[in-house]
Amino acid sequence: MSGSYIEVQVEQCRQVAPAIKEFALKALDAPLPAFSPGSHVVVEMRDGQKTYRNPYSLLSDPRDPSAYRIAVRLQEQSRGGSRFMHERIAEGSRLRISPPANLFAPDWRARKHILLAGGVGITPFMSYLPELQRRNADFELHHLFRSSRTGAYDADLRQRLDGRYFAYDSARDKRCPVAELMAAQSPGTHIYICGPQSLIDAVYANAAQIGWPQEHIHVEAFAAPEPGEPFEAVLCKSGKTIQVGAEESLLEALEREHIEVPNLCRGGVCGQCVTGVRDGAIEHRDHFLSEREKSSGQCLMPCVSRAKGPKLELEI
Amino acid sequence: MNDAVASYTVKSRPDYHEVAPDQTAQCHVFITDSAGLAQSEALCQASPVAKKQAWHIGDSDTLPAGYEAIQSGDWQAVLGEQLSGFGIATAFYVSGLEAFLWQVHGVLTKAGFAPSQIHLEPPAGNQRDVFCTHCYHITPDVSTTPARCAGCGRLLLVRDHFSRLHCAYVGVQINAEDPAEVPPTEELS
Repeated sequence: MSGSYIEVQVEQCRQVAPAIKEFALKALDAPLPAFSPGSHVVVEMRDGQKTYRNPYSLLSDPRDPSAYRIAVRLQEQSRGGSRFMHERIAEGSRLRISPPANLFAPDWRARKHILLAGGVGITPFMSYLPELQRRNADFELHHLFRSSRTGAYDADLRQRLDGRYFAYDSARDKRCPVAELMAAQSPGTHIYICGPQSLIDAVYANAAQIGWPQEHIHVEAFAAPEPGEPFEAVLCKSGKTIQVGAEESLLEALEREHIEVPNLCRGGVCGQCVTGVRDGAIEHRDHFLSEREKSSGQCLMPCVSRAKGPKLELEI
Repeated sequence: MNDAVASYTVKSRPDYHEVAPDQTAQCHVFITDSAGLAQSEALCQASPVAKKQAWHIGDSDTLPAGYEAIQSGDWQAVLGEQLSGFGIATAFYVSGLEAFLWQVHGVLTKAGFAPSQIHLEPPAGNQRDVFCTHCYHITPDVSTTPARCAGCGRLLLVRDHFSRLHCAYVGVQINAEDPAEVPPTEELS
């Protein structure tokens, strides 16, 4: 994470769905900064020699700086971070977080907001809701989940939002009719998606098919970096050579070696960590670089992308 | 044409391309002024026979088949009201003089439609609306530079900086040092 850290203490933690735990974080010294709906923080977890850094959306009311709340889904294929949060963090634990950053803010020009949440993807919308309600905005929240794993805040949202809330529990065979939902909207409607890639793809495919405007679709991709083959990274400017393991990202390997690279999303969307490449084949996995930039082979996003061969030479 | 566009350095000047019907749209709407009528009609005939609507804005007694008239007085409000009947997956095709294209663009975006749904044909003439930086008056249908401001009478150099909000190019006094000096007049591109 870039810039200054904030020291926080876990004030409360509770299970909000079978696989999701919520944590309330209080600042130890200075008050917490205000944030905007859709913001996230990067949470730093120190596990012995290893440090995990994962981005989590803020769930609290953006106008309430007394505590931040985050929710963590235990990933079956956890790279360590979500398991650490679930098993090792309890009330009283201390953590370091980045100041809030926002890559998924509401577009206030919209006449209507359709929020589409898949599983733990409900989290960024939790900070949207108070602001949408304060502004008397027209909105609907569509929550897709499987109650045996996810479905956090379902009962609470049903009560708070009344007719604006629509729940689809796949454990009860309830599916969201995405195509019908989109087709029924009036001009000026924007759709926001936070959920699995299959949900995002379904919305885009449907938009392309029926001529729905693409610029009215907003996506929060919260995928963690996928593992890959281990490789060697040669840092041309400092003359260092570091080994990148199969389970860690290049960014994480650089941070392990105390090499600071500016970053925000850690998921290949924000563009902050772009790094020059002098030599070596690249496996691009980000959503930020253009096709032309990718094929030039001159830069990569180390938060998600890797070497395609045994070695990469970087301009750092 | 492409070379000329590519070598152009003023970023604010819109870049126009030939418009093709959007095959995915559920409904097609054609809007034109008198100058763009022939262009609009050709495109309308070429587009798929899905739901169609065509409007001519201006005062004309003879209109091609399928075109409805909206009189020029207060046409932006009238058009805005008509739009409420159209769905989110509608494609718009606008033809005419450049200022008109962007005035329609403004009405459509205000109604909630996205820029990608609004297809502007290359302007049907070289006339520009010119915004005077001295008195803020907008002089319509200017085809030469310098041109006289209809608001304050200053002689304006017509620049290529375009405001999509005002639907006009910027004009700056060309002879502020010596108003008696009148540079030669050139036709605008």
